[in-house]
Amino acid sequence: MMKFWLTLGLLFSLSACSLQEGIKESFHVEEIQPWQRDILAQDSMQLDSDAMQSFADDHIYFSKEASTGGKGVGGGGCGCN
Amino acid sequence: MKNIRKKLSLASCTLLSGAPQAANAIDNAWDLDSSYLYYSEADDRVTVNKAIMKLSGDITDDDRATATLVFDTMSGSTPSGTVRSKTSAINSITNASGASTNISGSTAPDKVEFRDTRLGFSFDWDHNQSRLLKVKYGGNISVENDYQSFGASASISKDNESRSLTYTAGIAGYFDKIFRKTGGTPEPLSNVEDDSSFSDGERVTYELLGGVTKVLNRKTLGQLNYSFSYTDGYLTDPYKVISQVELVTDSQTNSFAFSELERYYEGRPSKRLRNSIYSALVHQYGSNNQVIHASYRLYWDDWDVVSHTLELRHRNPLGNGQYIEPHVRYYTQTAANFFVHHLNNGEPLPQYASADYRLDAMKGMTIGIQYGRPMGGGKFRARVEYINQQFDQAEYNENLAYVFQISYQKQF
Repeated sequence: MMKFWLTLGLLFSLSACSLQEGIKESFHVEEIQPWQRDILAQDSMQLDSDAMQSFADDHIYFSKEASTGGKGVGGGGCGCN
Repeated sequence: MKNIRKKLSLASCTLLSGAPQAANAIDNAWDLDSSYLYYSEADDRVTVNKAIMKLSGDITDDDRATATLVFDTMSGSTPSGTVRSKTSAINSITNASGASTNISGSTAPDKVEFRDTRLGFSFDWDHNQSRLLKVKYGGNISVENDYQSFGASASISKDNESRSLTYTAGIAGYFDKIFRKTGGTPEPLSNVEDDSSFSDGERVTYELLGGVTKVLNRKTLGQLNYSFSYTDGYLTDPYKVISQVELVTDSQTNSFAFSELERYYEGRPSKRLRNSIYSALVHQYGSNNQVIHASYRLYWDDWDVVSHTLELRHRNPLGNGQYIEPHVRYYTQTAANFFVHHLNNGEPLPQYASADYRLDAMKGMTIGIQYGRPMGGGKFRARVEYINQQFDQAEYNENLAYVFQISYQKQF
């Protein structure tokens, strides 16, 4: 179990290092032509890149915290909160 | 020569008749995403098994339909809101499943057992009104042993001419019905032993959302939303209770302990105004095409709950369509203005009070990792997450949970 958390910690550290580079690039604004949308069209670039994951997380945190919402409208209630 | 002409003619016909069929096959591709989730809290608290199926497909060139089916089973025990008293005068409790249990003895259970199932169904319809204008309609229904929810929503999205900016506006409404398995709801802040019951609880919720999504550059997308919701009706949890206590000296440890004298059902305001500002950024970078998903939400409501949610996912491609995605989420909230740990003996009952740990001030941290890969022409994902919640005053000041989820998506 300890090994798992150490590996996870290492991955986060590596992510944090490369994050700095990413943040610099991300705030550079430029107009995009239709033929330049190949990257933005990739699954991993969608705002909700994994519908099953976000659907489940919304339900978990809705039932365990006092706040909810923000991403969109609709969805549905449940008796867990 | 005649034979060759005939063959060419046949080949042309085959090409002409075959092309539209191939195009139709792609246009009408259906997408099935299915998932199983296991959620388990430490100390034999809540366990949830969840199955989700989502089917979507293009009905016409401008219409897409999505149907989602959810089935949950929930069991275990959850803190009722009472104190872990040295002694209790309470003889029976109502379990979260609605059944009454005799607990006469020296110590009253401060957790209640429950077992429930939930079946949820939602249907969404996306329609391209024009090249730049899209509308979406949705409806949902959710049914449990002690809860029913019905909702409808509509949203509109408008792109600017260069399609670098999308404005979104949405509206939704829900009607929820709350009742105990045995029927009705307890009178708020009534003594548990009086067994004073009202009819089923009902509430309506209205939601509004306005947002903008901006393509910042070829590799970056940003989103900013403001949403508002208003709920009117029964907002109390029919199973949560509060202890009225007096402090007694524990002669064994020479310290003070609670002695529970009475137990009351909780009572919450019948209105709630919620606001949130949500921002998200998606960015691809690096030679390995790593993708960052970062988001922040500021939430506040008229129960004085203010929360901050920070979330970060980092997708690291491993080659051959495989990836690994660490995830971290940090959450903090202030307590609702009527949250109490207990009621003091001899003091008048407040207008509203709840000892529900979820309304206490808290800090939460989630850490997890997801692995994804192509499999059998579709996409397989598996993830594990660890959730740690620390509460400020609640009787159970910690909640630890594990989440395991596998999903598979395929087009056909």
